[in-house]
Amino acid sequence: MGRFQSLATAIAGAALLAPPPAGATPRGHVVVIANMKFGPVPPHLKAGDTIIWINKDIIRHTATAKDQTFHVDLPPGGSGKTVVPGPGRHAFYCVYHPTMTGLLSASK
Amino acid sequence: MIAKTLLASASALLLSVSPTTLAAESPTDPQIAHIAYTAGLLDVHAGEQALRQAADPAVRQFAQTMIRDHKAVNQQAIALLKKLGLRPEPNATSEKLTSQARDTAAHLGSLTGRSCDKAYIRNEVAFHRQVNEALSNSLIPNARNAQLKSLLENGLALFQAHQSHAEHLLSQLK
Repeated sequence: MGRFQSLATAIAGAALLAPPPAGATPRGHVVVIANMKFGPVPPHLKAGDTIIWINKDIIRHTATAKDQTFHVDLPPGGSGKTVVPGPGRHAFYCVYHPTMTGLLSASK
Repeated sequence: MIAKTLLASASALLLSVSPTTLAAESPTDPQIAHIAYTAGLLDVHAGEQALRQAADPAVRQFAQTMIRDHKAVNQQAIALLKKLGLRPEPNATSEKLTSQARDTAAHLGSLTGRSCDKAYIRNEVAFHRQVNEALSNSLIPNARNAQLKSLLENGLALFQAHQSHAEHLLSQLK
């Protein structure tokens, strides 16, 4: 039971981490903000995927691309959605708390 | 009048209080709550003064953020204190914060333009540095209630971000 469960978990985890096949439909991802930090950004993002930003802090934040390709206002305890922009690296930050930063990398 | 007094107090704190004087020796939870709430309130009033006087757009945005963030934390604090049935206890430290801030607010009130912008941000750096040291060295270690301690820890993360933001802003102001 334990071994089977571990194997199943490993396979499921590998499936989540693996890059999507070419031509796959856009996928959804989650980035959590907590304690004044952006959580990990999922790997293997593709242009057109959706990111749901969940703000667990008690203060307002934003997720804003420095190249202005996306921006979403995130009320305390709220969430918002953006679309992963074109391929490349997109640095982002919170406009209210500029020390909060992150980077997402997208492929075609 | 009360707001003006608090505003004055907030600003004075920034320049004249050393970190070691920001928190009493082994403060109690009611005293800790009062100190933390007072510090937040004073910074709200400092931000409101800045909005009346500051000219630089980045400084004004910073002031708006300070007002919004500190109000949010204080609202959370009020809700927690109500839940815990904890009555904040005025103490020498919070009274000192309030009385000392008066002078700095008066100083800021005499400034205009860039000198006002710089003085406000310089004060914000000093204020957050001192409050953060007090949180780290006295208020958080002495907090007995776990929920109060957790709120203070969250506050520390926020105020550290404020300090870094203010330091960066100060380096950009000419």
